[in-house]
Amino acid sequence: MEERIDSVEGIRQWTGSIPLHYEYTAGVAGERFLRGLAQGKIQAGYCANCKEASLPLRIYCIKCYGGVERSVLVRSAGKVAALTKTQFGQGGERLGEPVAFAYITFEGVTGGLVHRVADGVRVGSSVRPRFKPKRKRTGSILDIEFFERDLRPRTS
Amino acid sequence: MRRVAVIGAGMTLFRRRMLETGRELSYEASKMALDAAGMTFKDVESVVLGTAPDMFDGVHMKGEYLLEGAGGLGKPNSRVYVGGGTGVFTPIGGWWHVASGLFDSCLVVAEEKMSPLHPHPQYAFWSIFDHTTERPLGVTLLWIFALEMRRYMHVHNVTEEDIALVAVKNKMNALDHPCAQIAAKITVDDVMKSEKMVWPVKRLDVSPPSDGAAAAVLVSEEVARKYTDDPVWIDGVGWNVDSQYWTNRELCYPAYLESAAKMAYKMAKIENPRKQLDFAEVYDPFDYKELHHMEGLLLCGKGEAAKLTRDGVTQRNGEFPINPSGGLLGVGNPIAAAGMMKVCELFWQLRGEAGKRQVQNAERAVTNGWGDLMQVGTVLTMKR
Ligand SMILES: [Zn+2]
Repeated sequence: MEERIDSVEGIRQWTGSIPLHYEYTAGVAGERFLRGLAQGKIQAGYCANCKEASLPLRIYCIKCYGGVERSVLVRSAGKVAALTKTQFGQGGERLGEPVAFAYITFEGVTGGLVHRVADGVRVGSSVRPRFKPKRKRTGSILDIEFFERDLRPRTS
Repeated sequence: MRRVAVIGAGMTLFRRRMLETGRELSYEASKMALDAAGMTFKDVESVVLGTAPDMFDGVHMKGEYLLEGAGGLGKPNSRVYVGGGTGVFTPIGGWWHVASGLFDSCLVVAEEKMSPLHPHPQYAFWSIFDHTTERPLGVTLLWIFALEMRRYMHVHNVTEEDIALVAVKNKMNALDHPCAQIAAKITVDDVMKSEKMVWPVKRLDVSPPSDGAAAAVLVSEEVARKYTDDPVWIDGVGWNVDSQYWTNRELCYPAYLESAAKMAYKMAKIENPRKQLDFAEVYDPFDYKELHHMEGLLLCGKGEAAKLTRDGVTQRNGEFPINPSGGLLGVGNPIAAAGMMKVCELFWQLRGEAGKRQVQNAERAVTNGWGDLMQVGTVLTMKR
């Protein structure tokens, strides 16, 4: 038998919940990053000491642990480093439409972002963010609807 | 065991709500402690983090979450947790690292960000009560603290006004603390007239929920000599946990704290704490706890703390100052960071760097943390 207790009606049980709700601050770096998204910009932190841009934006550099005050615009196209597709949501529920997610890196930037990607995107694809219309942006990672293939001609 | 020195301390502002994330708070406190020590993150061999339940910040695996902000990436690190006792337990954890000889340096960082949690952090504690005998009654921590306070008052014939003197003193001391959240000049009457929460506990008897972080740099003797001529030594540590069945102990006296204190005093070769120590930072989330803990730390006899307070002995310029920082009642109470703030205060006081809060000629001191379900005592003694 798989179950040790085969009749829950026969024993005393209690139920409980911990009624908590959270309202998080985005933080100093998060605030800057999200305000940038609302303006259609992806910003990386720039460590003047390491001369390195990195995502996500932080107030410190995880290489030298100096403070990071500058941020730089991520202008380069993203590159899909890994890709997955799922038909299940966070709670294991079945989604109407499968969703594709990718881990996206940017040239000249350490770290990367995870985001939804449009159809037709493959590992190795060059992608760019599709932002929501300006009036619909709220300062959220969801201000980027998804990343889609970057069909602009390569300039370099 | 090797000698362990503290060579730097740092802390953020304590506030009801900080914009900084927990990681950012940890970074700021760590950076300040390292700057004070003349060290960089690269110079640190190991990291110990202290932080209360994940439910407080609303971030699961909070140790891992905070780690990056404490400069712990790619280093041996751990997280310790014993409720409100965590703040003093965190440097005890760091002490193990260095005293054992495993590491020459350890950055200890304690953080709490209680502001995201709604409606109130107290809800997180519902689950710690026994579900057979207590939880269906809707018991809260404030209720049982009220019972403990009442028991203490009854056994030792202590009045609410006696206890209110602690809140008055600590909030006043905190006026000199640059990071303080609720420093104020108040009177016993203000405390007595403040809102009754769970009688005899009133609004001004209680410390507030807070956001904040505090940190210190612990090193071996050899490393300490390289960085400073003026190290402060951790010469005693002790900790002790009683049953979660709080109904199985005499509420008027924290025996588990006495056990922890005796462990630390034995290590530090302190036979008469009141004589050999110069001041104390005792855990004061409630004003009555300062009196309770003075007795548990053997700084006076049972039932004597209220008289010492009335007589002014515990004032910053008194014969034996208690909580010259302003304590949790004045500086604020971001749980783990609050206990760590007290350890930082010992360091600043013993180095003569406490500014307007400076206790004259302070050479040795003790601090304690307290928490879980009124069941843990964590104790640390330091000397210059
Ligand atoms: Zn750097």
